[in-house]
Order: sequence, then structure tokens, then C-alpha cells
Amino acid sequence: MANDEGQAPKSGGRIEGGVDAVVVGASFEGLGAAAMLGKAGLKTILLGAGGASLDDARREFEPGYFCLDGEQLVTHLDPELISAIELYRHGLEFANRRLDSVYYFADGSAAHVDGDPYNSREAIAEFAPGDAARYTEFLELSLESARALRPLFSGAAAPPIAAPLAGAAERYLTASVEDVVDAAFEDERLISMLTAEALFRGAPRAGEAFSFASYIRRLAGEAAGLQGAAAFAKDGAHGVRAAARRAAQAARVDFRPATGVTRVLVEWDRVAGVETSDGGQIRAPVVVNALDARRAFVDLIGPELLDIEFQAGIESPAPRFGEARVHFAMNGEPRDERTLANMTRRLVYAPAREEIAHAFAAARRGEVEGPLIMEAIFPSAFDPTLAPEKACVVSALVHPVPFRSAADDAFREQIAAAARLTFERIAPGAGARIIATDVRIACDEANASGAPARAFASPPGVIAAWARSRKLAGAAGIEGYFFCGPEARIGPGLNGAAGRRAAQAAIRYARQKVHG
Amino acid sequence: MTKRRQFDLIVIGAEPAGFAAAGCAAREGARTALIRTGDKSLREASMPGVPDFVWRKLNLQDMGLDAKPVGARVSLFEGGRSFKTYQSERKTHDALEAAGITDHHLWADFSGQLVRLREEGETLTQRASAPAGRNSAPALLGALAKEDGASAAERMTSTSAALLEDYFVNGDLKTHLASAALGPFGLGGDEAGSALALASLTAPAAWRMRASAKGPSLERVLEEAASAAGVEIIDARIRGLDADDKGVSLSLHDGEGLRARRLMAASTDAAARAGLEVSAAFSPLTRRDGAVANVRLRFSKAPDAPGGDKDAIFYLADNFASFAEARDAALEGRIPEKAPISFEFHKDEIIVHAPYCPAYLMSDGEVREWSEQDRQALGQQIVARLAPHLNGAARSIKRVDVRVVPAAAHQADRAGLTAPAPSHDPIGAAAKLALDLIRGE
Repeated sequence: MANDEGQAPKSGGRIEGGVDAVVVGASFEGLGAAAMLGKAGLKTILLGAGGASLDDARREFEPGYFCLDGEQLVTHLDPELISAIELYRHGLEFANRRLDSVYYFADGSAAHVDGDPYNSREAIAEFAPGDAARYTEFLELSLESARALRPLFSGAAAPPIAAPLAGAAERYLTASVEDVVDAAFEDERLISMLTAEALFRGAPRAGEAFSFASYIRRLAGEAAGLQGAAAFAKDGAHGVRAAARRAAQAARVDFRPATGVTRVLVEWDRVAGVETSDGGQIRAPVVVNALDARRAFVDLIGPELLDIEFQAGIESPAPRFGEARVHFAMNGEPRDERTLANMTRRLVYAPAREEIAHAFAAARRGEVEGPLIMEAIFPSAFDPTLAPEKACVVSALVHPVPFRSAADDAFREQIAAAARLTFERIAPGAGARIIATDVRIACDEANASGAPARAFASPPGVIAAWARSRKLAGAAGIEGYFFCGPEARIGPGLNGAAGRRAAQAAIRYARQKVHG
Repeated sequence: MTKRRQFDLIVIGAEPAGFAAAGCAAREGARTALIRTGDKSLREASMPGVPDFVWRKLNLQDMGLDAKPVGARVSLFEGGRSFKTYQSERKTHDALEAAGITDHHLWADFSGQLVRLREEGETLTQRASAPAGRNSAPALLGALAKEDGASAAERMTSTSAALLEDYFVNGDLKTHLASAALGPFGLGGDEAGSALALASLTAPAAWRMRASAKGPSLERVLEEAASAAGVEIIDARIRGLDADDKGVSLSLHDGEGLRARRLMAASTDAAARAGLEVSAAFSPLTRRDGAVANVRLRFSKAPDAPGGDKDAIFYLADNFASFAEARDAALEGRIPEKAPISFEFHKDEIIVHAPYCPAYLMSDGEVREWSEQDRQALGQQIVARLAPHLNGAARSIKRVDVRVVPAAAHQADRAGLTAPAPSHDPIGAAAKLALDLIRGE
């Protein structure tokens, strides 16, 4: 821990050498990449603050009520990164490794589904007996496809898949949610449940080609070692990042949060280091960039050094949808056991088909009209210090809301109203106990992290995201430059695979330079 | 039990694509039958183009087909503006230039890009040669594993909005291209994969044709060509089908049974009309949402076409965004107010194609079916939209017929029955599928 925040050494015009790698941007991907580079024995400097959220695990949004910003659940933590930088040894802890889900439907009914997707068959057999056999078959194919396609979801090339599974896997990647789900099932609730999971936090609509792939990606994810499960990390996303940060420090990464980067130095077609915001230079043969693609390529390298076709793909089309995190401060506590049990579960509102169509159409018009797809958890059930006694905090993610890079109070109020309306479907009557509502959308996350708002928009479909990620990983043909910004990620959630892959490529490159 | 007749290939659907597919297969020496189920397809004034390989295979030059390409594609806008493209790329380019649209410089580039995109799209999405359920060619996974897999995936999933944005600034041009490319599939410009709809416009026979008023229709000619090639045409309704490892058994309503090694439908619509579930080759153009309305306006005297071009296809669409808006409205169960439509002149009629209609209607949270009033309301809405472009002829409308047909849903992996992926070249797509099927083994 040579350099802690705030005391970054002033390099003021100095040229610093003897550095093997520079990582720009202290996002989770950046931290992970830096830790891996450090562990591989490269002298690594990590530049750029990861934003305010790095310092504050919790935010008091109402006197006595705290929320955790950032991802509320962990579903896709890259297992290779976890083991490569030994995140568990550096303090990664889960308050709950496998949250069960309770789905609430438009008709007022609910279904409790085991947190291990493999066991979801039992719940389905109970509430949709007519579809039970088909669901079992579907689940097996989906889980197997998900396992087989896992490399694809972390940004690698498609793996070869043996014949019996290949047809299903290919279909799952190209088909729309409706194509798969309507063809297979009759029970409206089962259809709603699968549709909600597939569309949650993504830009594609249910009828759009390629939209089902996000469900398969969801099943391919791993939280605390269990495929397709969702886990609650101690201190939420902050806890995971803190572990990555400790791993980087243990790997002797020189962390300079106060130092920004103004330019990436390119000599011939190779990276030569970076120019820092204090006017100095750090010479290094490897630069890993975890900032967004626009800054990483256009601002820091400059369009004149980039291939024209490559530039065309940097700016993705304007995002259509975003998501909103809504925190409710609720007083009173439930007394009945069922509700108490539900407080350590993941509560999902799965809207009916028409409700989903309506929500997406409204979002496209720039409006928010509930009910929306909602995933709600009770962080205060895992960490009682987040709420006063006999009170609780609900954190909910709602989707879809229109994407806006700036927001006014009226927009926030629309979201709050839609979220309350949706939450009523989960907990009828609970609205009366809500004493404060906090709405956090893309621009708030952007302000906190310094990244542009579009980095927090709902990501494009899996195949499109994969294509963009692969393209950007090629990094414009500049040797020694590796990219792991938000555009390199495939799908939503804390992941780390992009950082891990960038670091692996950087390490290979550095070793090649030494030996060859 | 009568003895079941045996065929190599049975084609369902007595429409041009079906006759062409059956005829081509028969010319290759396959024992082929075509089943005419008697269900009417949508009424159209123009008909799909016939690609060269079908033309040659069926010797259409000897069949007395008197048809010529549709004169132009014409978009009509508010305020009397219009925009035209022609079958000849040169002529289109010149027209763009004459209209003072600077985008004409990019036209050749754009067309070239579309051709590449279509060819790539075809290799990726064409896996029809293996019958459903025995799919052995996962083209997509193979493509994604290749070094340039990312660019293939990018092209395949890109939206027509992004593609048009890359090339053009003129709004009318973009709207016009969207009308021609997206309208027939009821897609929005922002849909993943909709760039392939634009690309499909470059298919060899994507430009539609019109038969002369005196000569036989294309359907009649292709039917004759199919018979001449040895296709057995069977008039019957289908009661059920049964697939096994060796082929497909069909039972007909008159009690007869047929047996074929391979079975295909002329199109997903033909299968839907025959009441069968079909497995289409994957394509983002496979439309599933909503319904299509076919509206016929009958006039007491033949109306004049805008610009005097009676052989053109006319499009009405306000702007590029109206495609996605109309699709959203249809998805929500509303009749969109200004949905993109197309229309053609046919003798004393105008035939309107309105592809952005909801499959069911939602009012006050209640779902209901289309009623006669709804159909009439849609008809009146369309008359009102056409009126400004008809030079007063709207007054002489005698009758408005509205037919609403649910868009065909395709089912993947449905054993037995295959259909070609939707395309702007339905005859070519069906004929290729038929040839693939009989050569498959």
C-alpha cells in the first residue's frame, strides 16, 4: 500500500520509466486487470479514481436509512478472475450465496422458485403442471447450452459444440424470447416468468430476433460457484470491488486514484505509455484501458491513429432503454413468517404479456408506465445496520425505463410512481409504509463514477454486445493497447471477464516482447 | 385403406413460390406433388419477381408470360413531395442526382454493401437443407468461432437504422428505403437484424413484376410450368401430418394418405393458411407480431395514379420513426394512426397492404378480436389517408373490403414441415429450398 488515495506522488512534468504496465480506470474491470498484471510480476500502475462509490459503501438516503449503490446482486462474477486474483482470500464474502426467487404475476398469484435453477423444475411442476415435462426438457437443454456457450458470454470465440446440442444452442442465440417461450409453453405465468428473466436489464424486446440469448447468458452466469444463481455480497457491489482492490494492493499495484490520463502515447504502431493529468509521462509498453470506448480510443488516442472502419463501431447507436434503481425506506416490520422468509429472497414481478408490451412501448416514447419488470431485495435483512430498528430498506431494479443522459425531477417522480405501483403487486398495501423513495438512474451512476451515462444504459443483445466487445478487444491494431471498458462487457452485472481477458492478453504480449 | 402414393417432395401452397419450387424439383427428376388447399392468399396487383435460375429451369420463355417489372417504387409524402427509385441502379442514381439529393454519391457504395450483407446473411441463416429436428449445420456457431466472427455477428444483428444512418442524411430517402424493405415484414427500423431486410432488397428477383392485363397471371403460368415439369397437383385439404426418420406421412380430408421423403410449404403464410405449424429457417425477418390487413378500394371509374404511374408501387410513411411506432402500437393492440402502408393500382381498384395491424385489439385493458366495425374503421382511416393523393377520385369509391390476416407464426424445430425464410425474393427462396431438400441425401 505504497500510495493511498489523496497522496498521489506529483510527477509534474517528470518522465517515469521502469513500468511494465499502466491500467487506466479503477472500475471493477480495471481493478481486476491491474491485480492480474501485478500478480503476473509486472510492475503495474493503476490510474484514475473509480468514483465516489469506491469510498462510500453506503449512502444515507433518508435519516437512518442506508442503501448500497451499484449492483444489488451478483450473478455473473467471472470464476477465472476470482481464482486468478484470489478474491476470496482478499475478503470477498457473501451474505447469501443463493437467493431463492419469488415471482409475482399479474393475476395476483406468486410462485417460490429455488435459487438453483436446476431445482426450479419442482416449483414449475407445482404451478404449471401441464408444462412440467416440457419445462424439464427445456431446462436441461438451456442449462447445457448455457454451459457450452459460456466462453462466448465472456467474450471468447464461440466454442465448438457437438451435434445434438448445436441445433438448440444456435436457436437459443438467434431466436426471440417469444419464439422460444410461446412455442414451448402454454401456462401464461410460466411464460411471464421466463420472459421477465430474459428481458430484464436488456435492450431487446420480446419479439425481437436474438433476444432470447440473454436468458441463456443468465443461466450461464455464476455467483458464488453455482451456475445460474444470484448471490448477495457483503456490502453489495462495493464489497466485491473492495476485495478486488485489496487483491490489487497485495499484488503490489501502484494505485494513484488522483491521477488522470490526458493522452495515450503511441509510437509507430505501439503503445509507449501515457501522459498524466499532472503533466508527467509514464513510459510503459502495455496500457490496459478500462474507460469507456469513446474516451479510450477517440479522446486518448485520437481519430487520426485509428482505422476508419474501427472508428465506425466505437460509437454505438444511442441507447434506447435504461434501468432505474429504486430504494424504498419502509417503516414497520412484517410479523408473519412468509413475509419474513421472503425478505432474504429475490422478489420478481413478472408482468403479463400486454403489460410488458405496454412498458416497452411507453419507454420508447420516453415515458414510464408501470407495472415494470422488478427485482426487489431487502438489503437490511442481510445487514440490519442499514435501517433503523423495526424498519427496512427495499432495493429494487426496474426495467424498462427510457434512457436519458440527464434527468429532471418529473422524470424521477414518474419512475418512483411506476416502481411503487409495481411494488404494490409484490406486496399489496406496502405502499402505505414507504416513507421515502430514492431513484437512481444512469446519469446518477455516471456522476458518481465519472463514466458517461450511456455506460449505464441497458446493454444491447448478447450477440451484438459480443460482436462489439470482440471488435474493441482487437484494439484498433495498436500493439500493447488492451481494452476492457463498459463496451467490452457482455450483458449487465458485475462481471470481471473483460478485465481478466484484457489482462491475460496483455501478459501474453509482455512475455512475448521479453522472449521474442 | 387406400394405397398411399409416394413422392420425393410434397409442396404445400398453390402460390407462385409453391409452383416454382415444385416445378424446379420435378425438373431435377424428383417425384413431386403440390397440394392446393384452396385457401386464398392475400390479393396483390404485382407479383414477386422470378429469379433467372427458376426462369431457365422451367423454360418460362416458352410459356407466354407477358410481364414486366413494376415501374417504380414511389413514396408519397405530405405537401406533395414524392420520392422514387427504379429497378435500374443507374436510373435511381440519376434520379437522386436530379432531385438534388447529395446522397447519390454513396448510392453505389451502399448497394455494394447491401449485396455483401445479403450474401453473408444467406450463408448464416440458410440451414434449411437439413429438415427441422435433424439440423446438422449450425452455421451461426461456426461463423462466430471464426476469426472474423465478430464482424459477421455485427452485420447480422445490426439495425437498418444504424445502416442507413451510416450512409445517408436525407430523411425521405431513408423512409423510402424502409418502406420498401421493412414494410412487407412489419418490422421497425430499430429491430436487431433488420439490416438484413434492407439487404434482402438486393436479392436477384426482389423487384416485383406485373403481368399485362390481357395475358395469363404469373400464378397460372407457373402452374402450367409445374405441370409441364411433371408435378402432380392435388386439390385437397390436409387433416394431419406425421413425421418419422424416413419421411413424412400426410393424411388428407378425403381419406387419402400421401407419403414423401421431404415436405415443404411455399411460405410460412401458406402453411398457416393450411392450418399447419412450420419450421422456417432462422431469419430476423420472420415476423411474429400482429396481423396484416389487405384492403381493396373499388372505384366507379378507374382512378388516376399519382404522377400517372399506374404500374408503380406506392408507399405512405411519414418518416423513419413511424415504422417502429406503428409496430409498437400494433404490439399494444392499437390500430396505429399513421402506419406505413403501400398500395397499387389494379384496373378499377386500389389494393392496399397494411402490414402494421394488431393481431387483437386492446381497449380499456380488455382484449378483443377484430370486429366488422374495426375493419370498417381501418378501411375509412386508409381511405382518408389516400384521399389527398388521388386527385378527388376518393369520392367515386364504391366499396371498401378489408381483410385482416394474422401474421404467420413460425415454429422452430417443428418436425416434418419446412418453409423458406422470409425474403423479398420468395420464389427464389422457395425454389432454393426445394432443390436443397431433394439434393439433401
